[in-house]
Amino acid sequence: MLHIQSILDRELKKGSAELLILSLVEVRPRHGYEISKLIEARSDGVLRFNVASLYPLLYRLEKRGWILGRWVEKAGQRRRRYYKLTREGRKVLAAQRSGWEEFVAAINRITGVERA
Amino acid sequence: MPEWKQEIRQRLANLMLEPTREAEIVEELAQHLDDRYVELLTSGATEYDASQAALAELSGQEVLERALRPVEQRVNNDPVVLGAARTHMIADLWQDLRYSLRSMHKHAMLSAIVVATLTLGIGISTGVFTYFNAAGLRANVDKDFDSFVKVYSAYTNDPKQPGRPADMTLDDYLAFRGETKSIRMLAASCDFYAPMGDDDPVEVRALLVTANFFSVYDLEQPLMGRLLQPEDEAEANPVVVLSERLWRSRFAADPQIVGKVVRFHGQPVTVVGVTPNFAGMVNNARAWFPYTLDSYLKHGDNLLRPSEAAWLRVTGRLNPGFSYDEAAAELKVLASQQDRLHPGRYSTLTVTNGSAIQDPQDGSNVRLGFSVLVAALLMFVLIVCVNVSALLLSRSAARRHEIGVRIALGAGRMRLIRMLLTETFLLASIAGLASLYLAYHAPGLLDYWLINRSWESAGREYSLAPDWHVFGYLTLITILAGTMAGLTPALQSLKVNLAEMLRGRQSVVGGTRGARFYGLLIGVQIALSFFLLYGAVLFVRTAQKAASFEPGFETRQVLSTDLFVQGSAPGQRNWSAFHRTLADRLSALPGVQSVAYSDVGPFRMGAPSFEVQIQGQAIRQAGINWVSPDFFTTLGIEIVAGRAFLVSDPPSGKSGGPVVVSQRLTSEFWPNESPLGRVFQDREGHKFEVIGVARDVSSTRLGGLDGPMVYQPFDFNSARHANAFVRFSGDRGELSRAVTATVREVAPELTFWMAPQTIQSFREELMVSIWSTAQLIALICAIAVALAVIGIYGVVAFSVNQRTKEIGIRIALGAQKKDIYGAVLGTSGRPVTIGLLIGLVVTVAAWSAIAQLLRNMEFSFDVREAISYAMTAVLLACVALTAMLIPAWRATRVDPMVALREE
Repeated sequence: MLHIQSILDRELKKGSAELLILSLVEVRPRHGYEISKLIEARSDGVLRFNVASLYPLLYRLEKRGWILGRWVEKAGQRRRRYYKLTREGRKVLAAQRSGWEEFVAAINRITGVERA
Repeated sequence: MPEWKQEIRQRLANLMLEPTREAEIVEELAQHLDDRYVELLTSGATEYDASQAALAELSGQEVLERALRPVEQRVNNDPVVLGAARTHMIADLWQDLRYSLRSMHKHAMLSAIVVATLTLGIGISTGVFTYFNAAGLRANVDKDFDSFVKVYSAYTNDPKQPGRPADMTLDDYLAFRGETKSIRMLAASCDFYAPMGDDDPVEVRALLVTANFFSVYDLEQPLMGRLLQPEDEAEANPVVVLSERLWRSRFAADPQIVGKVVRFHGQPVTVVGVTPNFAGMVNNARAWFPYTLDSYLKHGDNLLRPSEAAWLRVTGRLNPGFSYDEAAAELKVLASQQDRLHPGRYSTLTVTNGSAIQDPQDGSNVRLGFSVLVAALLMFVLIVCVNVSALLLSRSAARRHEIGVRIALGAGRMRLIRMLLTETFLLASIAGLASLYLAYHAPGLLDYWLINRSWESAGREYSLAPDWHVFGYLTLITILAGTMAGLTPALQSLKVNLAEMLRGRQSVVGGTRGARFYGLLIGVQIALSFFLLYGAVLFVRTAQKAASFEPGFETRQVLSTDLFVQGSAPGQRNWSAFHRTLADRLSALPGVQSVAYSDVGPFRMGAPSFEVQIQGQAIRQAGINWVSPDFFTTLGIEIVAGRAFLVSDPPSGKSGGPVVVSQRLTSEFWPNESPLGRVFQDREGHKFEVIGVARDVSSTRLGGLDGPMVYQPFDFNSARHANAFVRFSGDRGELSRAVTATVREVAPELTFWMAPQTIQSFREELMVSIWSTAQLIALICAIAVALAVIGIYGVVAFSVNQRTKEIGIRIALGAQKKDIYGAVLGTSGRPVTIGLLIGLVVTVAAWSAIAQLLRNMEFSFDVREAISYAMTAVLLACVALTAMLIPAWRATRVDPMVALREE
């Protein structure tokens, strides 16, 4: 049971990971650590990304041109790499969002889970 | 703060990332771990726990690696060329372009020479192509080449033998004009050669045309007065439109010419307009009459009545939205309707775009000539490219240090090649643009050179402007040139021994391999030049021979005139009576010694051929001509055995009978026996008996004796196209006029293609055009060879430059001048010799093939003359030697001290 649970969790996480990251940088640019903290915080600890899973994902998204990474040097601090959403990424985010909503609605309809 | 970077690097080691990329990732991940560490500390963990927790985020050895591999791997291959961080194709190209421009600026002199050389090659090649494109590949009109239409009709009574596509009958033309929807304007024309003026009439080439003729040929406004109108055609008004040339040459540009009455062929016609030079001056026409004046001008013989006579040349313009195929289909239907009105007749229509290459009769010759031309032009471009290669090589040598550095920094081979090729393409594109200028202006020059010097035409009649054929050709050639010229230096640049190069000791020549490569360049240039130079020598010698060749029969004291009858209405005239009457009348003229006829005129292209079969031998081809009994005496051709024809000999025509053969035929067919009395057959089994042998002459081609010839008795009854020969003594001009007048009297409806002139003067006219062509070819070949020689000079000078140190050492060790010469010439001389040999072999093979294809032209190419090859070889060897001597001489002046210091 637990075994299946963890598999399901992994698959779900994989499917939604891109969506998470894209939506988090939608409002303003963020750096990697900030993103991982936000995910943990807003999901109440359900979703956690560690270094080995977060950064490869960020680099992949950057390579696709959906987010853009820049080294930013703020006064008195070391430089950090901030990621922001590109125009292409914005389109992808919108598409993935609506896709995700449809998916969830469909699952709900089938399994009869009503959300209040 | 603990040190994370080592741990991170460990996990990234197997990925073999580029140093900068790896550093970035390490920095980012390290920061993340720092933040985590600080956060954990703030929430109360111990330092040890915090650092352990942070490290746990990093996971095991393989996890990070596996996750990053698919993302980062592809980043690896991009070389650090020119500090670029992007892997974008377009960005690379832009960078390459900017770099090329800088590099061109740095080597401004060399770049200028390269561009100039390329422009010469591409430009000349395109200019020549444009000219022949305008002359042969499209209709000879000014605008809208794609809508011009020419219609040929072939009439026959035997559906299995369609007949030759040629002119159309009047009925058909009028029917088509009324019915066709696919052709907007259908015009008809017919050549007409009329004497103009009363006393001392001048022969004027004219056309009988329909009123819409001028529109078809793009003329809307005349220079003065008006053009022909449909009423002129309908009412057969006796009017004429003159060309500007005629107006200036014969009427002294009389401003009051419109309205004046001029006599043509004795008939008064009113001048209604004057035209500027335009495309409708077909066959050098200078005046245009409404075609309905045919009987008026020709004194009776009326082709305007419905008849079987096919005498109209039909051209037109397509309606927009219709294609040539649709027009052809429509006309086919209309033609079969017409055929039903003429039971027993089958007509076949051919619709072309009016270009020479699509002409049903001559098209194959034009295609042939064109292919040869394009091949020669490509070869010319090839030589130019090899030349440019050599020039660029010297520059690439100077950049070897830079290339070495790039490779050391990780530049990929393909990337470097792309960069180097971009430079060459840039140079080629500049040359291509400059050539565009030549494409617009060179054809005019060519036209003047080739045409205007033999005909007295000033000013162009149809547009020689380039069209998409030319632009396509230009683009292709530019790309080809850019690639070929640039590939070699690019590939050579990459053959580097990195370590040696960075230490500055490697020369780009790279030992024997490099030397052999330069030898190859030299050899290729020599071989190509051999081919072209031999072509020039061949043409010049052929022209010389043609001019000086004695034809073997009388040419100066014989007038020849081509009698051409319009239409083929049978039974309209008693031909036998006509010919005999004409002969009698001509003989009666003062100064005339004898008169004869033949079917085929001298030096018109190719006698018709005839298959000869002798018992027990293979079938052979021979030329055939039908001649009257006085032919041999009139032309002064000796009968060496047997006799000539007598009036009593029956006209053999096709059913067999007596023949006279040429010496060549007897030596080929009956080498050791007397041919008199022998019999041979033709393909259909008719038997011919040899009654005489005539001396060989040169009458079908310039500069060479004819092949085997068979003469048959002239059929006075059926001739509708004959040549008349008049042997005379005394003044030629007067007699020519008298002959014309006589022929006109006897048969007013005949047309002359050209005024009676001596055979010699006709030969001389042909010669002028041959000479112009030969000169042009010689010029182009000279340019190509000059380029090749410059190229050789460049290569040899460069290799000497490379060997400066070696030469310096030799001199220091006591080498004499002649040793140095020997060294330089020896190295470069071998490829030259090999190039000459290979060039010889290739030239012999190629030109033999070409000559075989061109064997039907009106002068004979003799490709077996050893002296032409020898001349070419010697010429080429001399110039090559000179090209090598100069660098060799400079090599002997090397100061060993300077050379050795040049480390």
